[in-house]
Amino acid sequence: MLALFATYLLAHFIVYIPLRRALRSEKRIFLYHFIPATVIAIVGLALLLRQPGGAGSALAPLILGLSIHGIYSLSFLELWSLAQGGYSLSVIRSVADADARGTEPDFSYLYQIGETKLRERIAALQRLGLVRREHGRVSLTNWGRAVADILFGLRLWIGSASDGSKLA
Amino acid sequence: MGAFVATLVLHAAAVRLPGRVDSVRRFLLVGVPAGVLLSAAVFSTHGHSVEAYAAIGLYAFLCELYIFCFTLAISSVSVMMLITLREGRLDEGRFSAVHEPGQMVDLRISRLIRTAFLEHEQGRLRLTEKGVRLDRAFAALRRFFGHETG
Repeated sequence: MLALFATYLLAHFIVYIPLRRALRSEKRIFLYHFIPATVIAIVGLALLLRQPGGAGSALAPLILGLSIHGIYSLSFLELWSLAQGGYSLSVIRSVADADARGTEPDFSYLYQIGETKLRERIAALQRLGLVRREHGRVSLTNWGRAVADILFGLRLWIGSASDGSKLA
Repeated sequence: MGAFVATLVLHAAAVRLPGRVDSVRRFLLVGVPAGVLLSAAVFSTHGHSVEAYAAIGLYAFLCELYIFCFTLAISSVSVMMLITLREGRLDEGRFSAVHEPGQMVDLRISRLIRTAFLEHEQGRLRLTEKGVRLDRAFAALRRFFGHETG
């Protein structure tokens, strides 16, 4: 059973390689991981419930499989996202390019990226239903306020709470 | 699950201790020993069974998810926007002023200097050895993920 699951994960990774050009948007790469993991969870639970001797004996392999899938997918998506457009990594790239040319790093395009990113992020938050825009003003929706409260709570938990403007 | 909750509580205590160690390293300082203790406990009670590996696997996944969530909460620009909006609505123009892109770059540079990826040498910014290794690793990742081809 576990050998089969390991083969599946390897196949998932190998299939990505020829598909990577088609999976270059954040939404598509997320779905490429989320859909199979959800299918495995649902099928696994359905098989558990049909077990004649109760679900206990097969629960552990399912938890182990989903945990390994979660670790694999989360690591993959974090690396994918950082490699795509990490702001700090872009700063490092600019310094490396300038080093190679023997000139000063040019961050002006990063400022432009920053402005574009701010607009894109407001639009993305709006698409997720977390913020609304009315007459040139931005505010939280009810759902957005709940998410913001949870995130603020998490920041309090790790002793990093301050107003958002102090962060970047 | 109990081991994970205990790790969260220990992490919350660890981040409040003085020192310049970042919150991810502080989590690893409590999370790794807790994981070793959990492994010892489950192997002694269940042996090398699927149940034991399931408990360890679940703990490892929850730890990675927690690291992802709290690093997102402290460093994501989108999260910063949501937290700013808790105080009330903002003009879109004012948003750009609060989260000024130049300031975002400057903060990233000072963070990279603090974490020894960049250094000032004769008034110029340069990559440290650590920075060069990181740049090479992510250049390889960009090629692998196909982010470099238009």
